[in-house]
Amino acid sequence: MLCRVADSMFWMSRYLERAENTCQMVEVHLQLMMDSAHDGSGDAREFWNPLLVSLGDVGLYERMYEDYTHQDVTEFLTFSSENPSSIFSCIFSARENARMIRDQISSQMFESINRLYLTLRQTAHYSISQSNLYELFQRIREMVYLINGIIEATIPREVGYDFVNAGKFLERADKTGRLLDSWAFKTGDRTHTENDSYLLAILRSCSALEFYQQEFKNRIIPSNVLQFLVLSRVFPRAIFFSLTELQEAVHAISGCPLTHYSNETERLCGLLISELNYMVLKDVVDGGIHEFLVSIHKKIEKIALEFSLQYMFFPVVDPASEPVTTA
Amino acid sequence: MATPQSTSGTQSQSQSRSPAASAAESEPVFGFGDYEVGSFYDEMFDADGSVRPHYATLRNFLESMGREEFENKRTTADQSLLRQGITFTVYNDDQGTEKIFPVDLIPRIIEDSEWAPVEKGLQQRLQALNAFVHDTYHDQKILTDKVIPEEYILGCKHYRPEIRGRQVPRDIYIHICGTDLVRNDDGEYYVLEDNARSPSGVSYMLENRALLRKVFPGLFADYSVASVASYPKDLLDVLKYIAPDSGSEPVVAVLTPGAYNSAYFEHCFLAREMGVQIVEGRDLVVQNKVVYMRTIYGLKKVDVLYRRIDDDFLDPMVFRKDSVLGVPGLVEAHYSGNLGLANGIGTGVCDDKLIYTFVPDMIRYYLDEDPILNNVETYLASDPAQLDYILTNCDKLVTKPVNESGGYGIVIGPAATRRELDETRDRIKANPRNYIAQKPLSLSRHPTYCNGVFEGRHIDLRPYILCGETIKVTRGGLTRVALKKGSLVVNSSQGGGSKDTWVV
Repeated sequence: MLCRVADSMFWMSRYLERAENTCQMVEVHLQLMMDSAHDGSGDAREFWNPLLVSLGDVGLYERMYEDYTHQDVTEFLTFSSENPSSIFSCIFSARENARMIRDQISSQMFESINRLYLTLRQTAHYSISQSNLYELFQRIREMVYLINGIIEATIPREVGYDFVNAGKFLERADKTGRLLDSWAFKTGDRTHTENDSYLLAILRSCSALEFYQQEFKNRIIPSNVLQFLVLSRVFPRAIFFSLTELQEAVHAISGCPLTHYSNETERLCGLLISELNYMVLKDVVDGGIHEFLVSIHKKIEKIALEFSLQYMFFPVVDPASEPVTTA
Repeated sequence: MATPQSTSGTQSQSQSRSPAASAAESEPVFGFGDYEVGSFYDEMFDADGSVRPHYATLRNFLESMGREEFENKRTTADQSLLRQGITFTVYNDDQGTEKIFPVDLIPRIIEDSEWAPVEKGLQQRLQALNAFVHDTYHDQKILTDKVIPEEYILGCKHYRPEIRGRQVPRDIYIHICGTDLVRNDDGEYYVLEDNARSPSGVSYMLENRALLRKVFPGLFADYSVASVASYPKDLLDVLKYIAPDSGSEPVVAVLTPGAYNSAYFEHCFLAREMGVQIVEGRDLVVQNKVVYMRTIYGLKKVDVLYRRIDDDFLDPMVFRKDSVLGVPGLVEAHYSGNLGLANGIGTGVCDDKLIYTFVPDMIRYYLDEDPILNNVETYLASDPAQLDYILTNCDKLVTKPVNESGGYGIVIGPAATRRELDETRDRIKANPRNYIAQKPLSLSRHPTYCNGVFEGRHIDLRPYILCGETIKVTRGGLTRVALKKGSLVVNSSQGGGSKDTWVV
């Protein structure tokens, strides 16, 4: 497989996942806004700033807009073509990548990505109310699920599929971490509040609430949420789960057994998985959740860099990457 | 029987009726009853309006179908093209809008007996063109013998002095040629131009056939239509024929400028049909005069490139320094014998419309044969005597810049405004080498389904000629049709469509 084709497979998949995850993050905040009890609902800056910080988009936002308003931030995250990680930009880029390799993917796959792009392009021309926005996110997420289904159903289980999976799970591990970090960054040390509405919104937007409740019987407390969304081996949006999927994909590409490693990507991936596997959650909660999540983010970034160097022969060029500020 | 020159009165009659008159009554009759042949050569009907024998079956087939069924077929066809994304890209749009290249469902039918001399003529022409390109870049005998004035070649925009004296595999320069033919009102075919660099459109020829087979399967039982399906295989054979001798199966790839190129669909199509890799310049790297593609497991040698990138952008070390599409070192790899390249470098001299006028002379000079196909009579602005004629008769002539493609820059005298003509004269005077003029041809017309009725529209024909071990011509080619009434411009970028073309 050509490096360029591998690169397009990887980024097509990564951009789709990123679009869905950004939907999810904005959704969390829309839910919080509807929650009148939430103390941040008055001040838009206080409300949105942590999310933009953890997404790494705060610098660009503050260059583009004078102030924080709900409308500007949702516009920025959803439709802005100047923001390379807005949902629209991600879907546009996913489609461009798909177009470049359309001889290598199934026609259903290209057509469904194309349809998603056209849906958003038509919508982007109208200003949209908050409740419509919520529906739009539902629609985008459903279409991404559909595309993922088409990928599962139509892409041969060869190396192209491994690149698609590597892109998807790398992005997901990263974004689940950033979503949690937007909460950790906002709440600071107040990590023992019970029934935190922010955490509730996160669980809901990750479709995790039901499974979380089965496991922890309704007690929404930070350490349990971390246990679930960081360390679960079975929940598909958990960081640990995503990393093991990523590990499987990168080993499938090289053909190296999981017990060994043949390159830096595999070594770093294995190292991070071990770290999470053997860590004590209490140490993290005591030592600072934000610091912990930032360190995970940096390690994932390093894995992405090594992966690009290994297979695409040049460093990763992620237009949306901006260093996360360590608070 | 179709009535020539009949007035199409159905519309105005129906308007004068009371609104109560049924819509069905006011609709024009489906079929060829009111078809106007006009003063043109019509491919389907002769001058007195009788259907030509080889079109009789098609006519009956279409008329027995009825409007509703025909419309259904048309909708099916359009949806199928859109869904499959059989599109081309329109420039001047920031997001690279893709459009369908419209297909008219009425096939153009050419009798085998009529096709045979055309095929022979095209083979003859390509043989002479290849001899000419070889000569141009070696001894230039045709210049020494004063068949073509030296300054015409040396002043050619696409002449490449850099490659003089260099050898190419099997001494073939033009492996794929698309030659545009039109039929004049005398019923004869004329060559309008040769495309010896990267002729496009062959994918539409193949897709049109696949579409017609799907839409009118029954019609293929009545006609014995010559197949065009072997084109990708024939092309691959040509490409393998120019591979460096390595003993192993040659690695062939299609080199595309990328997804934003207007013909990207075609590049992907041909790569897929031939079962070879499609590559961009950035996928390739040259080491020790050998071309490699960068794969995830390392470098892999490439033996032959079917390149759809112009000479200018092919290699920044030799041609344009600012090219980001090309591959540094590729030209040297080619002339070192490590890479087959189709088409060869420097073939653009044949696309020059001034050089075109000398093709019949080339045929006589290199092959010692009489040309089988006609050239269009052409006046050269670079010849002082002819320049005067052109300037005086600008309003009666079609003037063309010699190096443009896609129909750009053409001024049709009889249709031009006084101001356009003045500007044209000024441009010609300023740079005579750059212009030629021709008497307007009366392009033949073909019934085409437009707004619910069959109407005559002007057409041309581009067969594709492959030169490898032998010279092979596609049986038929791509018929392009000017969908706008009265228009002579068939280019896809300017409102043209296409038709499936049958040799029977």
